[in-house]
Amino acid sequence: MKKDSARDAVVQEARELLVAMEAALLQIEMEGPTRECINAIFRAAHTIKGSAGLFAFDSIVQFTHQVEHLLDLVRQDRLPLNGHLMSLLLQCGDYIGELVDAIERGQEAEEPNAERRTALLAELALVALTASTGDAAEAAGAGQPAAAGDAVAGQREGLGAIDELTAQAPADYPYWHLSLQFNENVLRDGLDPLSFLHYLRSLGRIVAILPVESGIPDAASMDAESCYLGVEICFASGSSRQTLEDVFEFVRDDSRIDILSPHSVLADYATVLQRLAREDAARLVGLWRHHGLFNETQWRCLGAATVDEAAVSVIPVAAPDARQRPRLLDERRAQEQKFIKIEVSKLDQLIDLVGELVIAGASARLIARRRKDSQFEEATQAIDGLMEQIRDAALTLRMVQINEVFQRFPRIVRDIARDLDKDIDLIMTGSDTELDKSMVERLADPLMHIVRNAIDHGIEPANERLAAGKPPKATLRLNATHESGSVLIEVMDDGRGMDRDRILEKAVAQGLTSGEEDLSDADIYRFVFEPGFSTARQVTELSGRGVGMDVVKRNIEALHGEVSIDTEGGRGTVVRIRLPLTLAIISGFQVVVGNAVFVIPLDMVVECIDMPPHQSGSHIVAVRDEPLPFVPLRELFDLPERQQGRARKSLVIVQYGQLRAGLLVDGLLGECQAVIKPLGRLFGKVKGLSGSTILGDGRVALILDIPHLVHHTQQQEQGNTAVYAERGVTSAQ
Amino acid sequence: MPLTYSVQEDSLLLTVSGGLTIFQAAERKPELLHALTLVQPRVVLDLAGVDEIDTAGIQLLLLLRRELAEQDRQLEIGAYSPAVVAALDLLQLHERFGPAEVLLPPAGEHA
Repeated sequence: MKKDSARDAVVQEARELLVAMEAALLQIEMEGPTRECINAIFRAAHTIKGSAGLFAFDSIVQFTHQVEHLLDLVRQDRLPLNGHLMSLLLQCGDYIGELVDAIERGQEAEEPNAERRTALLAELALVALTASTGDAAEAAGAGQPAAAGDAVAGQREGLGAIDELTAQAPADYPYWHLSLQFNENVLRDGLDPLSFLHYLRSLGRIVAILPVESGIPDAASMDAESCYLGVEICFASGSSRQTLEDVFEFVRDDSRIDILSPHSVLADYATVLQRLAREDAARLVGLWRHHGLFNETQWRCLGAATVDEAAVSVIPVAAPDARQRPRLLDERRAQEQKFIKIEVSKLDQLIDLVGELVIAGASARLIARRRKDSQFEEATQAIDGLMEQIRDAALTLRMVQINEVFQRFPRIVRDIARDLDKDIDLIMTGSDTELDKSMVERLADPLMHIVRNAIDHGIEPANERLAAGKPPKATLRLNATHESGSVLIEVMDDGRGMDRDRILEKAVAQGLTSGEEDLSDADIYRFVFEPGFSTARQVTELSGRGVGMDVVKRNIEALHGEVSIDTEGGRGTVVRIRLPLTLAIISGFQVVVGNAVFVIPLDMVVECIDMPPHQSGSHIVAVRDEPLPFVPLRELFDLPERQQGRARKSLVIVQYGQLRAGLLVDGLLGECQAVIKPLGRLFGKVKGLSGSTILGDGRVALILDIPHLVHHTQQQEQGNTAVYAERGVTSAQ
Repeated sequence: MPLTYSVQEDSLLLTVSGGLTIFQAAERKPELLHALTLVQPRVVLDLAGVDEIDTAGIQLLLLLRRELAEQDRQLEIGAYSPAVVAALDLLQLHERFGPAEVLLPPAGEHA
């Protein structure tokens, strides 16, 4: 297997597992610990470690091993899963995520954040040790309290259990440890190891140094010009690992240069000891003891390393892993039978082909109809039916549950709420709503921004909420549903809402409006999406810098979606994002205007009726006694009148969101499958059109941008009412 | 003469002068190890005349010390040059070469 594809697989799997782990942790936080959740977390950590181990991503393996151990203690009920531990585990999950990112970048050899790692490992070890010793003491206490023998036995039991753990725990050792064995030719090459040590002193303080002389062969075979000397150095320095490694750059070839960061895992120090001859090892232990570099437990562990040369108890990590590997592979195989991972590009290729097939099928059907060959027509009909199914199936392959985005929010909300000291209940509904994969990915950032805004600006601090007669715990809702051919995503908070007057004031101040126009609430709230608009009185760390909502709007519009705000002072705010289901193929409804064919997304078509008589000049008709604004497409696109003969026109009623409008067309052609092709750059800015498609006979049809047209009618309507209002005023005078 | 032997009671005094580096190491090795063929239980090195020493030189001293130890004999350094003190300081090797500090308080950077 190529390492690259293996790398991708590990990265992706690890990410999924981390998400699962986080979800389980948050569930525990909300609903209290359940065995199921704890096991899920443990399994996630275990599998991450296992797969990283398969490809020798040691940094992850070692780190995750600690986490796994801790989780094992939790699983055995030896450690209570309290808030502190939860936070620690979440942070560890984050750090594993960083390590995974490093693997993805191909930089797994470097530690992304050595300090953080050290701190987390120290914390993990600390928590683990309290658990184990507490347990041992309890075990001892459960027997006869005074019996020293029992206590010792109990302790020993505890020890046995923690040996492996302490081996992987970060040691107290606060210095760098450099273990150097130069290559034999270094002196002949004109390099003197002593000069490296001299240089090293310019980077920090050599706390203790041990020249290792056991490499020097007996007098007869010793070559005076070869270098046999090794050194073990305890080195106090604030330098980075890179700086230290650079010191030895010229001698790195064939030399063994081991640099252990401060607080490396105990097993690493044990390895250093094991490498040394007995005498040198004893000397090194002496030095370490002299400087008090380890605590008692750790000494016991290291003692075992030097005394029992087998040292099985110290580095048992490799052994169980070797046994786990085949089992892990089995587990993975079982999973592979359920899911196949496919490159997105392959899927896109398939969908492109299906699109071409739809077009080719349409032209075959057209020929069949022209020839009036009923058998041929029947055959094409059957093919059409199948094609439609293939199209749908192919499209669903690209569909993913919006949960992929939603699932990040419990954590985000938790963290932000903690930072701002707000108590928030997050309720997510409709997270199984499906959406095109590419959209889900691009939805994450805007959604995140909206949620941040809601928590930071929308939701008031608890005391303010109480004063306003609201429960102190705020509620934030994320909801997704399908609505007439589009997906609606809502972010609702029950906070203070937006201040209409302030927004207006600000908009006037920024010259966005004169303030004298008669603006609807929706119009005013729309100013929030203008670049550089912020009403936050206080710039907080999280938001309020006036950047963001305009970017949100741009991102959503790039997805052919739209975003709107609905808010009520003191009651809360709803931000609605409406997105098309997919960007690839739609079921369309063809209409004719003049000689041009237009396609309307079928999902948005409500009904088609004959154009009722109406007042010329007005763009409103009465449909079943309800006024309905309409768009005369011919006028809109300035198309030539069709040759006389058919005066009867049709009205296609479309719905977008809560709004309805009619489209006045010359004729109806019926349903079709439209493969959406983007408009060229030239036409990209033309309003009212969202794309193009190729018809069965090879002609190009334009796809109407219904959301835009519906809004167009609304604006027109408002314009009209404004005119009427004016007239009313004049007549009153 | 870069290396001379002299006997004082039960001690053998080796006086080394000049460089004790990779450039002289091959030459010094047999001369130093010659001490192994002699019988005095205590071997004292006078390194006051050593103006330069490097890892190769240190290795030779360590080798001599080890070989002597196998014969139950002791190697001490009786006198240092600043270069030798600096090298032994750097490697914290003083205690392996007997009660040298007593004879000559280490100078330079040694704290």
